[in-house]
Amino acid sequence: MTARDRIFAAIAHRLGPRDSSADDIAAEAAALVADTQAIQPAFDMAALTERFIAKATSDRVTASVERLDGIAQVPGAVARYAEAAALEALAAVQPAPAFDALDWAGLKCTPRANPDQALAVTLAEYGVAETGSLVFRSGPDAPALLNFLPLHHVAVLREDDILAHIEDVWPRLGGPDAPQSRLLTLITGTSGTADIEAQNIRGAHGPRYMHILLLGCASERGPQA
Amino acid sequence: MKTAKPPSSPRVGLFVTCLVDAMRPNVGFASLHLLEAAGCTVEVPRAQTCCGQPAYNSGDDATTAAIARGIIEAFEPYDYVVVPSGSCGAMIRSHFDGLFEDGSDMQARQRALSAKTWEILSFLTDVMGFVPEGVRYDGMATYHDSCSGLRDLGVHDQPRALLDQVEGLRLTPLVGHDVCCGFGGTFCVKYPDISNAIVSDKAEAIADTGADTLLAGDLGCLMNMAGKLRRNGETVKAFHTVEVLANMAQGPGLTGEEEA
Amino acid sequence: MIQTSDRFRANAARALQDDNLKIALTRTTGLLQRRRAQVIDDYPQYADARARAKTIKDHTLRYLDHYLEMFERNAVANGAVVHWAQTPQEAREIITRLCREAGAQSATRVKSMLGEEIGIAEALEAAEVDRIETDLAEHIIQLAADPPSHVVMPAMHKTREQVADLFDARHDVRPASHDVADLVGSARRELREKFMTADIGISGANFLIAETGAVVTVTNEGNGELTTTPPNTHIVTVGIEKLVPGMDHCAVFLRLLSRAAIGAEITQYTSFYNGPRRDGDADGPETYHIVLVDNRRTEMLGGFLQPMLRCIRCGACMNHCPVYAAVGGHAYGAVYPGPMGSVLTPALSSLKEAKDLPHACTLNGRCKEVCPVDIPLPDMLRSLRARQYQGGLTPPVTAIALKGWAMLARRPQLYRMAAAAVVLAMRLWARGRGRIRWLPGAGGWTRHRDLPAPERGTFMQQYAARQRGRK
Repeated sequence: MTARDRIFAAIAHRLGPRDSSADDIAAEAAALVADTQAIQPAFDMAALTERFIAKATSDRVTASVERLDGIAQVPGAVARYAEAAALEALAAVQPAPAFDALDWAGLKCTPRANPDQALAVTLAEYGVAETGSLVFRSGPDAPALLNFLPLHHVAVLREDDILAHIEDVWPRLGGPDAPQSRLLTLITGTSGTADIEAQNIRGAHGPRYMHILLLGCASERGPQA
Repeated sequence: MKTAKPPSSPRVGLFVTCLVDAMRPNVGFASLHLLEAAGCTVEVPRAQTCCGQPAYNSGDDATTAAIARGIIEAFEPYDYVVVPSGSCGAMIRSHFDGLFEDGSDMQARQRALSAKTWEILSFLTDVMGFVPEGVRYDGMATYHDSCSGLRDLGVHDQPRALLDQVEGLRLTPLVGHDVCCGFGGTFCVKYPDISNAIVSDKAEAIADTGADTLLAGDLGCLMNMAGKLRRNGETVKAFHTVEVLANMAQGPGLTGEEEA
Repeated sequence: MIQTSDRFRANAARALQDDNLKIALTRTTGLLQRRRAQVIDDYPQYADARARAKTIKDHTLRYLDHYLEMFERNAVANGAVVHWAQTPQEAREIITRLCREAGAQSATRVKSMLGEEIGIAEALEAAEVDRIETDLAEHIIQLAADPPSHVVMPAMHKTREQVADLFDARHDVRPASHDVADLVGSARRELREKFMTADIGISGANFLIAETGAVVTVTNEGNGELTTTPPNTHIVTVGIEKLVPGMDHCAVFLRLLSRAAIGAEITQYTSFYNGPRRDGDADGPETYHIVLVDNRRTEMLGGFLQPMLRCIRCGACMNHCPVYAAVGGHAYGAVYPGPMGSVLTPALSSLKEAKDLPHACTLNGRCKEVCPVDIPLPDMLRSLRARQYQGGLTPPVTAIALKGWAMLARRPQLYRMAAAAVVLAMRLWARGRGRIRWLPGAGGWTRHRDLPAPERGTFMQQYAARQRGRK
């Protein structure tokens, strides 16, 4: 008997016959999460952006947020960020079509990050207001390493792509039968560790700084919290 | 969890506990006094020894069941069984379940007895609606919540509500009031040094409150904490909550230096 | 890791003498308790989420074979190679073989407790692969050659001063200072290149999603993704009990795990691994292996130990355990310390080898209270004690003492006489003092504490006298 056989035999032996069909089991499983609202943190669903910004800039997440009108302003914002952080005007920029169409003059761009990369710019597919998280999937125009190697991570997010809760991300992935990207990551702020005396330190192996460029109609909203 | 209307003159069987019997009978007499003041008729069945925790916590289920049987037989005639201890109260109320065979007559009797067994402080408030009157204790006390009473039986607000009625008594919170004192019954016998490490932290926290009195609802915890405080040279007096409530907290308290 | 659980008593005694350990434990457990309390206070739905998590786990365990089959099917459809190992040895053999097939010389590793269980270090050694631990804590204990002392913070037993000394001695470039931030920076610098040049990346899993075949990790340093993206081969080692049915089920646990473990709403990196590099992907491993490990978990199904399989390895139980706080994780002498370790270690090894662990507990119940999946740890420990007693594993002295006590406790008249005699003896011994400083037979107590001197007679004696007086 293979190990697999032995394991399944052991389970059957310990639990005995369970006369439920796959449909029964699926129905039971679905019922367990039918009411997601009951366990989701509650907040004003008409103020997702405000919630997202408040969470992202909280001291548990430690990102900074800058509001821009549109994607055309991104290169300028990145250049300003680099200057303010006393970095070279050099960035690893994700080869996303939306970025390729922009005018990156003033910044030297590479599509790949090296291990000592100071600055990288990536495009988040979604944001999650509940936690201040950003959603990234790996792909041909999305090297996963751009989100993890640099010291400074500039992430671009469209305000319209801010979802309310974690569960709201899943339906946008195409469903369990759709082809899945290799890696899906919810990134919430800057890397950190509490492994030495439980002291929270930022910048473990991942980025130490996260700057979120939030694209939307900045002029239509009031001042940030 | 209050019952609707206090019953009139219930018959209570007092289960004094082995520690109270041997080490601090005053707690037993204070319990008697309080229960009578609350309007109960109290008897102390002679056929009681121990709730069985030492056997239970050592894994000797057979002895535990035998002891439980004796308690059931001795106490089932009463309306209530009242215990001046969270751990012994929880033993009878929560942990007797499972000792007897499913569906057996003994199990039915056990469940009936467990259901009417109460730790004393919660009995006085939640069942009898008792409000102490004319009680005085001058001092500042800090309160330790014994683990079994707190977690198994939900005893937390009741002692504080009762002590609130005591003239002259101020309560100051204990940091880590819900943290184990390290007694653990058989634990302190098996691992005295670990127990000591835990009670050392507890004694420090008690001393830090600046209180002159330590109160709790379990004698095991009190002996452990008072014993450590005394060894450390602290002068904090330790009493069981019922002693204060019954106006019977004169003298130096547990491990106090004057003639006991 | 060599298990020394049968030497808990000696381990604990040593630990109690270790001042550095005391400092480390005091600094950490208090912080972790406060952070957890705060974040749960801020999550009013916590009790409901906890109840739901327990039900989800119980449901999944009930149909574990169904969900394992589903997971395998979906993972394979995603391009994973799925392996099965019933024992740690089988798991090691698989890993050694995969390393050899890949011609690997070095492997970076993300912390996995299951990896410790199966002895991954041995497997890599057998394949002559350089093992590079990348979590900061694992990196620390690799340098110190220590076993882990906590499920979430394996280097909790080290003070910052000890870590500083270690890094000064062992890093290619010394830390800029002994500030914790610079120590972290030094580890970052030390490991950077190694991420990029490793042949194999080995990781664990917090959850397995049956419906999609995803492997989920919940981490905060970024080393997880840096370990599993650059190399050509990615290997996941995971226990079969980590399954949940679907993504919405996983979300329940995501909210609970970080809150319970470190007092955060979510960790920095919640990653779902769905397979190897896809055609055209800019980065990622070519091959992706998942090793599903049983290691006695199936034996826990359908019995009183089954609730232990709900465990999501948050560490809350040990963070709140007064015994753990007194002696630290190493005293338990096994991969898993603290309350959950005291239940799991006998299950993974044997009651005999871990005989002290079920007794290393005051039964105070705080662990069960803080457990995000409501595992009845104290009840299970007590049940293990009952099995030990029935199995003749109770030390003879204890068993005899218990029998002697039981004989009295079952005979009220005899008991009353014995109690009266003991009380009289203690009273004489106390010689009028209110306390006893030393008592033969109670050396364990009186070594550190005073005992109260008894009153003039037991309660039963005094009560009987009063009753007689009333007549």
